[in-house]
This record gives sequence, C-alpha cells and structure tokens, in this order.
Amino acid sequence: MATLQPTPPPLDDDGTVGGLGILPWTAITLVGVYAGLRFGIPWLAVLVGVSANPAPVPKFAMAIYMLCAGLGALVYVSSEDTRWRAFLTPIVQAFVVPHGGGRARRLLPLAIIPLLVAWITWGQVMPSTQSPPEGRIQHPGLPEQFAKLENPFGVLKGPERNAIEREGVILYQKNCRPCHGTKGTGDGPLARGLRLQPVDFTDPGTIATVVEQYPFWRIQKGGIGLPNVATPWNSAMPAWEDEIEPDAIWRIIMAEHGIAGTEPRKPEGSER
Amino acid sequence: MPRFITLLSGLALGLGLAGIAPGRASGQWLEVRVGDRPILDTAMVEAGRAVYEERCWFCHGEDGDGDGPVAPYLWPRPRDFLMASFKLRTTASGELPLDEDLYRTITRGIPGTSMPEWGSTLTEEERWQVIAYIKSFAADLFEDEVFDPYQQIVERGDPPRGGAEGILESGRRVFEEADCWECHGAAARGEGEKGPELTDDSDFPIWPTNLTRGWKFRGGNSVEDVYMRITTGLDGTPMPSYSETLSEEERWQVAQYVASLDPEGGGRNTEVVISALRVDGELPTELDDPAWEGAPEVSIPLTGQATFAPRWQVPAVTDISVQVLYNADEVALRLAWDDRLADTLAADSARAAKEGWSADDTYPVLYRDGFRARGFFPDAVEVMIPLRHGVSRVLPHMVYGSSGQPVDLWRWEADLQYDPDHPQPVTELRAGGTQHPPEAHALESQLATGAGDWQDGRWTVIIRRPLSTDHGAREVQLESGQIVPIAFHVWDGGNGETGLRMALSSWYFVYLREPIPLTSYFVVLLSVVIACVFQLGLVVWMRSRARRGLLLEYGIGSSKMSE
Ligand code: HEC
Ligand code: HEC
Ligand code: HEC
Repeated sequence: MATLQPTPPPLDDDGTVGGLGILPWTAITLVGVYAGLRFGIPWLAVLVGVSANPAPVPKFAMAIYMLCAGLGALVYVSSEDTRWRAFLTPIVQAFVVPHGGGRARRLLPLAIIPLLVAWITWGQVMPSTQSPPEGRIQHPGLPEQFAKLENPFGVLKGPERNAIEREGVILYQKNCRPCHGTKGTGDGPLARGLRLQPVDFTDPGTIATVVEQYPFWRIQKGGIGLPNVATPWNSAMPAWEDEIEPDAIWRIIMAEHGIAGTEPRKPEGSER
Repeated sequence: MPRFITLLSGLALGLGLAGIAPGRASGQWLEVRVGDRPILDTAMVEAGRAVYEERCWFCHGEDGDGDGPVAPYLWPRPRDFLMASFKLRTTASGELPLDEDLYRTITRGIPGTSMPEWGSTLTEEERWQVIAYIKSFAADLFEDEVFDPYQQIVERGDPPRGGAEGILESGRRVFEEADCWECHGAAARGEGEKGPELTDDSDFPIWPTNLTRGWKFRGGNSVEDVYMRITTGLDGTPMPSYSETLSEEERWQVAQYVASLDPEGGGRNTEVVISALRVDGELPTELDDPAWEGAPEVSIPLTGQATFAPRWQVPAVTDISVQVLYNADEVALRLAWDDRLADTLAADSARAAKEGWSADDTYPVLYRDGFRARGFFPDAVEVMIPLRHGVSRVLPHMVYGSSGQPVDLWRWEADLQYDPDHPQPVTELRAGGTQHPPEAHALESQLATGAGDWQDGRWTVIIRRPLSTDHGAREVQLESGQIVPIAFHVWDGGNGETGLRMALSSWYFVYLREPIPLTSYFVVLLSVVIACVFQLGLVVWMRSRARRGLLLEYGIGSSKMSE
C-alpha cells in the first residue's frame, strides 16, 4: 500500500494572515462572534444604558446569529479558489495524513467535530434557567389623539417661563424624583428594586429625541397605557391622569428639560 | 414622526432590553478626592446661592431650614442648615464640619436617604460655592473663631495590621462590652431593644442602622469610615462618639468587625430565574429543616410601591431571600427578610383601609405632627402569581394585575401566626387591579398553608401550596417543568406599612426544574456517535481519493502514487 506522504502545499502565502492559516482565523472569528454575543452584547447594553444589568441574548437569537456568522465565513473562504484550498488543506491533511508524533496528536484533530456536536446538542436538550426573552420597545408610536396636543406654555419667554418651570420643578421633585431621580438620571431611591429601570432623561435617546406630546402621553397614561410590545406589565411608571391636571403635566415637561439639561425636540415640519 | 419613533424602537428592540439594576457601588466617604479649598468669600456665597436655588432648595428649603416643599414626604428629613449640626465629619463630637467634609458629602451623596450625589452634576467650583452658601445659613457659628473646626480635627492613625481573625474576634467583644447591641442588636440588624424609642434632634423617629447592610451606611462602610463615625459620632442622632469611652485600638477593632458584617459586600444577585429544587417524598415543614440547604437561594431587591396612590417612598425592607422546593404534589417557598421588630398585633382594619387604600395626596406626608403609625399593622409577606400563566409572554401588571388579568396571592400574616384561634397563617387571595383590596378566596379554595418565626431581627416564613387544584382555570395551576412568573410583597407593620404602602418586587420567575431525564443524555451520546460515524466515512472517502491522487492540490500525494 502506498504510504501517504505530505508534500508542501502548492500554495503561496495567499491564504495566511499574520502567519496564521485561514482555518485558524475562521475559527477565531467564529469564537469571537460567539463571545461577543454571549458576553459582549449584554454588557454593552449595560454600558450604553439601555439595560440595567446584563440580560443574556435569547437562545434562538444566538442560534440564528451563529448560523449567519457560519454561513458568512463559508461564503468568504469559498469565494476564491486559492483561499478555499488554503482553508481545506489543513482539514484534509488532518483527516488523511496522520502526522507523526504521538497517538494523541493524531487523534486530537479527529476529536474536534464530535466534541463540538456534543456541546451543541447538550446546550439544546439540557434544560436551562434562562428567563423568557424580554426584549421590548421603549418608544412605541404615539397614539393619534395625543399628536395634536399643544403645550400651552411653549411660547412663554423670560420670567413668565421661569415661573412655570419653577412650579414644574416642585411637581417633578415631589412626584417623579423617587424613581427618576433628583437630576432626572433615572436613579432615584426607588429605582434600585425595579428590573425595568425608570427612564434616564439625560440620555439623548429619551425626552430629547421625542416630541413634547410623547412624554405628555406617557405621563398621563403611564406604564399600563403602553402597548404589549413595550411590556407594560414590567413598568412601574404611574398613570397620573387622575392626579395631575393636564396643565400641571405641561409644567413638568417644561421643567424636565431644565432638570436633565436637554432641549425639547420640535415636531416635524414645524419650521415651515 | 411616528415613523421616526418606530425606527428608534426597532433599534432598541435589536439591543434587547430589561434587566435588574446592578448594585451601584458608591465609593467610600473618606475616599472622595478633595482638591484645594478655595477662599470662600462673599462672591462665592452669591454664586452658591444660584446653585442652591436651582438644585437644593426644594428639599433643604429656600431659607435652609430643611423644610422645602418636598421635605414632608422624605425620611430621613433633609438637613436643617440653620442648626449647623452635621452627621459626617472628621471633627470632634458636637463640632462644626470642615469644608472638606461637606465637600465629600455633597460629592458622594448620602446612601440610604434621598440626598443625591452631586459629583457628576456640579463642577468642583460649584460644589465649593454651594458650601459657602449653606455655611452662610449659620454664619454666626461658622464665622466665630471659637468654633473653628480646623482646631477640632480628630486624629486618625492607620488601621492596625495583623491577624484578621484575632481583630474581628476582639472587635466583636468590644461591640458587646461597649453596649453597641443595646441599639444595633446582638445580630447587628438594628434590632436592639432601645431602637423603638430613639429620636433625632428634631424629634423625628430614627432607627439604629442595620449593620449587615453596608451599602446603606450614610458615610460608607470601609474600616476607615466606620472608625471615623465611631470616633466622631453622628451629630444630631443618638449615635454617640466613642472617642472618650473606647481606646483608639478598640475603635479600630470594632470598626473592623462592623465593616466585615455586610455578607454581600454591596454586590447583589442579578438572577431573574429562581431555580426550584425537586425532592422525592415530603416537603419540609420546619423552618430550619436541612432539606432547605440544598435549594438555591436568591436575594431579590424590593422597592416602595409608588405606581398607585397611596404611594410608599420609605419601605423598611429592601431585600427578600427566596428558596423554592417542590415535589410531585406541592410547592414550598422559604422566605426570609430583615425586620427590626416582630409586629404581631392584628391590624386596625378601619385604619388599614384609610391609610392603605385611599390617599389625599400623591404620596403620604410622613410624620404629620411628628407622628408615624406604629403598632397598628402586622408584618406580612405575600407571593404573587398570575392566575393564568402559560406560554404567553404577556403578564399581568406588576402591581396586582388588572381586572382582565387577575393575580393570585398567597399571604402570610404575623398576627394570624400568633393567634391561637386561627387555623393557620396563610390566606389565598385574588387581586385584579388596585381599585379594591384583594379578596380572600372562598373557604374551599384556601389550600395554602405555612408558618413563620422571628428571630434576631429576621423573619423566616414558609408558604406551601398544592401544585394543582380541583378548580381548574379558576385557580393557579402549576406543573413540574414550568417557568412561572412570581413577585413578592413585604409589609413592615411597625413602619406604618399596610395595603398599597408596601415593599414590592418586579416580576421574577420560578423554574420548577425537573431532574434531567435519561433520554437527554442518550440524545447527546447518539449525536456524538453519529458525528463519529460520519467523520469516519469522510476519512475513509478522502483516503481513497488521496490514494487515487485526487487530492494533490491539497498537498497530499506521493511520488510513489503511481504504484
Ligand atoms: C414608581 C416609579 C416611577 C414614578 C414615580 C415615575 N416614573 Fe416615569 N417611568 C418609570 C419607569 C420604570 C419608566 C420606564 C418604563 C416605561 O417607559 O413605562 C418610566 C418612564 C417614563 C417616561 C417615558 C420616557 C421615554 O422616553 O420613554 C416618562 C416621560 C416619564 N416616565 C415621566 C415621569 C414623570 C413626569 C413622572 C412624575 C410625574 C414620573 N415619570 C414618575 C417609573 C416611574
Ligand atoms: C431630594 C432631596 C435633597 C436634595 C435635592 C438635596 N439634599 Fe442634601 N440632604 C437631603 C437629606 C434627606 C439629607 C439628610 C440625610 C441624613 O440625615 O442622613 C441631606 C443632607 C445634606 C447635608 C448634610 C450632611 C451631613 O453630614 O449631615 C448636606 C451638607 C447637604 N444635604 C447638602 C446638599 C446640597 C449642597 C444640595 C444641592 C446641591 C442638596 N443637599 C440637595 C436631601 C436632599
Ligand atoms: C444609643 C443608641 C446607639 C448606640 C449605643 C450605638 N449606636 Fe450606632 N447608631 C445609632 C443610630 C440611631 C444610628 C443611625 C444614624 C443615622 O441613621 O444617621 C447609628 C449608626 C451607626 C453606624 C452607621 C454610620 C453610617 O455611616 O451610617 C455605625 C457603623 C454604628 N452606628 C456603629 C456603632 C458602634 C460600633 C457602636 C458601639 C461602639 C454603636 N454604633 C453604638 C445608635 C446607636
């Protein structure tokens, strides 16, 4: 029987990056994507403040993302002949040519696929304590009837405006501060125990980017007034309509921007 | 515009939200970096007035008397600057604080109170300015050389080094011999016998600190900080200075002991799912049955109910520890939480209806006429589960659901526990919103049982209930393998808590975890075998191709190939 002997691959260095072959690079990339999904995204969400603690990416989303990453990698390595060959060479060699050296060295590459398969199926069939997915939309569309409301104090300037804002500050500090915090940063004394954190008004994603009517709706109708995509059941945000008059709500909105140091956003087309 | 919002929402959804707040680790008081103190002249005072009248007045009062429009709803009350009495100092008991002391407090805020940190909002200069201004409220004292605080700075050496074990042991002895326990309690949970009668200098009730909750210390719980508090005392409160009564060494020892008491070190659990452990045979009925040791313990943070009036900003209980066991028929929860006093008297029901279920303001005024309800309500704990819970992601609202989506409640009450006429202390109730108090189930649907006991400032309670009942969809039905939404409510009667004035949690989940079935292991094994067979086939196939010289391009082939 013919002894199978490796001859050096008829390849130039095309398929290597920084001395590493294309196969190790693919593996590293996939592991990187996995780590990013598994640990990176949850922590990133905490860092940019959309989520208060690292919530895991749901299993099904992980599976889909990993599938995409795998397919992407495959398309990349097979898109060019030399690259494809450089990719396959180490695999084929591992399968066909048992390198010299100990038994372990020869069997190790062969163990990789079964181990990977075992790990994936284990993850699929074993029960996990992952909570049901809780993705939510913080800013669902503004209900029609609120879009037309007008802020009666919007036109005021100077001392008149200051007087209104001062009343708004008292209303805010009395009613909203326990959750949203004295400075509007969403870290009031009651925030600690809430899984869905009170909104941080200094975050450019909140009151600074929505029209004034938006907070008006949210203050009147509260968490329970949200559509299901925004998980109203997790929101401690009160519906203030029975306790705070519409006028007073506008006062609070006038004050909020001062408290959080943001500018109100003008409705589309208002410049015209 | 709606398009814009939809776009934004898509983005937000993509990121996947929701989670528990991590314990915000606020640094220690003495660790706050203080720059050079500028000269606090009249220009500074004037500049400070502007800062104060934007940021501080609504709590501390326009005139600095601690009586701003928000103050009646707060406890502890904002500082009255006219009294010039400050808790956090590096100066001797009864003396004025250094400007640097005020700078530290204002920069860091006061944990466990409504006093926020200003380090991230005010510039260093603005902080010095506002200090100049708040000192001007008691200018006669601060400007009198007789009271110069810089002559009153307390000595602070370095903490003693050496065998930590020995120091903690000596510290514990000092804690006993210096009678710290009379106020702070033998278990240091603030349950000492003197607690209920203590008041601060403005005659408002004050509780001795629960020393096992280091993150709520006013001035931080590093050894150095605790040493400083024990040395200087907290002016305006019953917490005395021990600079005369304890030696420096003893103060370091007891400080070391106190600093070691926070078991969690400020860090908190962020689990959302409580794993229930399945047991064969009977569930434990005793509170301290060793069977509980196997059940994973999750500590769940609580907050004041502030979504519906009457709102509650000053909940006494901040965490509840939860364990769950179940067997083929029943589920049992063991709940434990710190509470300084066991309030076991039956509720004054007229009062409970008035204070717990109706409101004449958005938040109750605390200590109207210096008074706070005490001795009218019992302690209680409650587990909330959606009546219908299933595959649907939609849950009832976290505060008692709604009429369309009711919740069931399993409530243990301390007065029933100690009432010999009562068969047992747990009641099953139904709530559908907060318009009315929850209503007890009919007698034949009262299936939950339980028991509770108070020891050393901590309640431990067991609640048991059959997994399933005969009444189908009219009652909560549980099944092994399910992930069930769950929430917790705690009342400290002695703190004036009843009805909606309570501490509550967000929704969590209990996972009635089943033992891993043998078939699961088999599936994994099978998949590995299949992978091996497949790989073997691949190897054989490739080798045959190699022998036929078809793999030359992969560097495989041999000169003797033609053989
Ligand atoms: C019991 C705690 C609590 C109180 C009190 C509270 N809020 Fe909220 N608020 C929340 C929470 C939690 C959210 C985030 C969930 C949501 O959007 O419903 C929120 C969200 C909001 C939003 C939506 C912001 C956005 O960009 O989506 C606005 C506006 C708001 N609150 C204003 C107020 C005002 C004004 C008050 C006082 C009158 C107030 N809140 C009182 C807890 C509270
Ligand atoms: C939301 C209400 C609130 C606001 C706003 C607030 N404080 Fe306070 N402050 C308090 C409370 C409550 C206390 C008392 C805490 C305690 O007794 O433990 C306090 C205490 C203090 C103390 C006393 C510290 C000590 O050692 O006793 C100082 C100084 C102080 N605040 C300064 C300020 C300054 C300066 C501002 C504005 C930049 C400010 N506070 C804004 C609520 C507030
Ligand atoms: C007469 C009752 C009393 C005695 C005796 C007492 N304390 Fe206190 N202690 C208090 C009170 C009340 C507070 C709460 C002050 C507050 O809330 O601002 C407190 C607070 C504390 C704090 C928290 C400081 C902070 O930064 O919040 C520590 C630490 C402490 N005590 C340690 C001790 C030690 C150690 C002893 C014994 C050497 C002792 N106490 C004796 C009543 C007492």
